[in-house]
Amino acid sequence: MADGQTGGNDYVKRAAAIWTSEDDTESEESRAAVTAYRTSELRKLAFTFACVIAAVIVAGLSITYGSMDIGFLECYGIIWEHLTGHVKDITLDYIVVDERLPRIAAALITGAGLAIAGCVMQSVMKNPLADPYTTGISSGAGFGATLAITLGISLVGGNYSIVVNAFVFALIPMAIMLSVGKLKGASPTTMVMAGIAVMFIFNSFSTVLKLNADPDALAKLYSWTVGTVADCKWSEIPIMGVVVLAGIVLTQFFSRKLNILATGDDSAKAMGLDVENMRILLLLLISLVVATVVSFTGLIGFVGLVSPHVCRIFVGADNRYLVISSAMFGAVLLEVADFIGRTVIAPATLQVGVVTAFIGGPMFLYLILKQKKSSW
Amino acid sequence: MEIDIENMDAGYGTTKILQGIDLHLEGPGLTCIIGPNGVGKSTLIKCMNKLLTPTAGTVKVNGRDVKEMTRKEIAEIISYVPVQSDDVFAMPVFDTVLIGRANKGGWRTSSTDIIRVKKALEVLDLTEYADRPFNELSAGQHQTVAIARGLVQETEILILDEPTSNLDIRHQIFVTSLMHEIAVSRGIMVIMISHNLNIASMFADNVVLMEKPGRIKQVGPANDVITAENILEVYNVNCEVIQHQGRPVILLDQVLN
Repeated sequence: MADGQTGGNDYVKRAAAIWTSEDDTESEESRAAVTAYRTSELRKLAFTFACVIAAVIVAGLSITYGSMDIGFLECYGIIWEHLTGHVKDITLDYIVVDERLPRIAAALITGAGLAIAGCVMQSVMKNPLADPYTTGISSGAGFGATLAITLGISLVGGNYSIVVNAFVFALIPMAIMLSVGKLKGASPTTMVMAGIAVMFIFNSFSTVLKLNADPDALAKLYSWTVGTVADCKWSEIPIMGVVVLAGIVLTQFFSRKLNILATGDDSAKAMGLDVENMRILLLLLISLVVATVVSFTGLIGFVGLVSPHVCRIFVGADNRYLVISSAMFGAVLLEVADFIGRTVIAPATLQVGVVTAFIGGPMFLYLILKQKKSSW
Repeated sequence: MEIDIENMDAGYGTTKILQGIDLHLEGPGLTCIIGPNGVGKSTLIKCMNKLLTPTAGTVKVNGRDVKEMTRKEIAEIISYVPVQSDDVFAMPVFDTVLIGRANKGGWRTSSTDIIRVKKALEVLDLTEYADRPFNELSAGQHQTVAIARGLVQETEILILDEPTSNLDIRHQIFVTSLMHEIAVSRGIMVIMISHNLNIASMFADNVVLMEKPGRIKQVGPANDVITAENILEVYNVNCEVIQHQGRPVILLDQVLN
């Protein structure tokens, strides 16, 4: 509150009169306020749009890189020819569309999925350290994969044994958390504590299984737990894409309710929000998104944690803009990480999960130190 | 506008806080709820908008039992300003107040939303802080921002839980008198918890005095409720009550053991 003259009856009456007066939408002051707000909205959307442009450019750069040189602009032409059904060179079409594009698409989808999950987790749990794995999803998925790799126990056979196991076991921690929430009330603290408890339980199971695993199985397991998009195929992209897209759309739909939730439980309830059910619904939604992407890519850390924080610096904490910008930034971040992983020690490759940790950590520290306004 | 509480008991878990509460509030004006710490003032207002479900009795708002009403229906009638607001991921003050308009429209912020928020900030002397992050303000400014968020909800009943507890004396007077002015000129019911009996006495149209263990001692105009006998009985404090500009003013004497 500014230091002004307070206490005088006239002063208070004038203040009250401002509130009770009719809104003059045509006044210069009102127009200036609306224009200023609309400008700030555009600024927030510009950041998201910049991420989309960056995603397209990095995709082009990523496609050009490989055993066969393809020009930066040429690759977009090849994709356009493929989309319009006028393929001129079958070999180039195969290299771009079938070999190089699936991993880029997987990186974009996975990055976007992990980032919105991080954004929702942090808002719902009111915890800056929450990420998609705080609910124990990683340990559940990890145990499912460990079971399939070390003992060959899987819910389905064949090529998808690890994927299906990881997906199903990733959802178990959430089921436990929701049950605890029903019994004890779905407060953020209860949810985080239940998630941590489940994480330790599953990790201990995984450790026991690893004790007697053979070296080949351990190597395969290590590869899965670090996370990669290199093995993703076109056949898997639609499933990942539809789930992540649905996640983004629904989260965006609930973004104003996420803002209400951020004011505190009592305040949110008083504003008409069914706080416990909204929290459960959102956690269930992001669990499905994360379980789907990690079951195909393995555990890729840091994207979910860092993306919302970076975006808060540029667009603020209003979830109506934060959700979509986090999704776009997460997509670019993972795409860049994958590109770096492919090029930095070529011809060998670094898995994307290793790169995200390498670039994500220092980047996060830099942003924390650099930012002027405190966003958390 | 009307709040009708009949024979209500309420508490947390097995701890009973309120017992046999009967309270009828009606029409526009400022009602101040006063009473010692732990007597159940916050519990009482939380029962009015179903933040807490009574263990016995009924709470009716505009003739409807709140048990039968959805949260959204209640929110359309009652807005509530809690004693403290969360600020983990702080937004600028303008956006923080704007959240109060969330039930007024769709996903997009309308021009009316923007103008109402601008006005609320102006009324509460917060215009210069509009772009400041909420978590960079003082505790008193937090409260004032929360009041602005309550105002922009534009409901017929506004409930405030100790809105002046972190404010200096001048701003306590300002906020309380502003709530009275708005209640009268806008024709709404404002209910607030207050610990400053002299300020409550200056501006309240109605005073609810609560006493231990969780009961209502007296309801009425300040002149009837704020008396030396009541203060001694409820707060265990000796005082002299004098008249000043037609209102009772407390001159404190000493606290009894």
